[in-house]
Amino acid sequence: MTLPPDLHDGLLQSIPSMRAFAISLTGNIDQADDLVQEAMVRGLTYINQFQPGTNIQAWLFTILRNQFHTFYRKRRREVEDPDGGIAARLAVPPEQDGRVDVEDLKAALAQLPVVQREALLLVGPQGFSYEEAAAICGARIGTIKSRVNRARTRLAELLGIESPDDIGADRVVKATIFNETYTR
Amino acid sequence: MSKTDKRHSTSRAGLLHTDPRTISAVRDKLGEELRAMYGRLADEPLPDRLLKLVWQLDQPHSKGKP
Repeated sequence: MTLPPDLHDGLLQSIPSMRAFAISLTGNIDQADDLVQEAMVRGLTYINQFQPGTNIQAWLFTILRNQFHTFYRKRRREVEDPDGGIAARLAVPPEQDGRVDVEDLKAALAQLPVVQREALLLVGPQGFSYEEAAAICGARIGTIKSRVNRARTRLAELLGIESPDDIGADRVVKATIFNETYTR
Repeated sequence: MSKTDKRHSTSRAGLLHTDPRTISAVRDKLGEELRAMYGRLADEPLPDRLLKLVWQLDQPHSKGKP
């Protein structure tokens, strides 16, 4: 198969960010690599359906996201956990070690509902516009904005962050004072 | 109530009393942390099976062609 150079480059350049998205979404590297591999193979198989001039990365993310949901639906039938209660109990509690630890962040992300997690990742670190994220998720722009908003708030709650200073050297002290104040 | 439950419930109560500018600043800061985490993941070396895909993409012609 010979691809036009722009498509070829677009596919190649999308792989690392697709992998980062998949790892952040699933919390599992093997599952993430399965998803990226399947999405790439599927993308190449149906490359003739891609509309030139549109965003190849958004197109690939749509495929990846749809595959994740197919997988997620299958898995949910196996382990029913609609409220994330099991996931919450399995998650590692955040450590108060002076900054937001990557593992804390991953654990908190894993506790977000899937639709909030994907919206936050697409609009936040991945840098898609709300319009692009809405197209990828098959949702309205307002729905995506709402999901991102709720995800950010919930993430701050899960990490016990009350002010920007909490993500810094004095987080331990502030968290201790905060907990003592509100648990009395 | 476990320690984790207690922290989550108090945290939720605390956020309700936080002013909008602080909430916005917290979100910005969290956004930075998320981008940093995401950037590290994107910079990780690809596993062999994905490298193989990349290699296949880099071949100008499919195997079936002369």
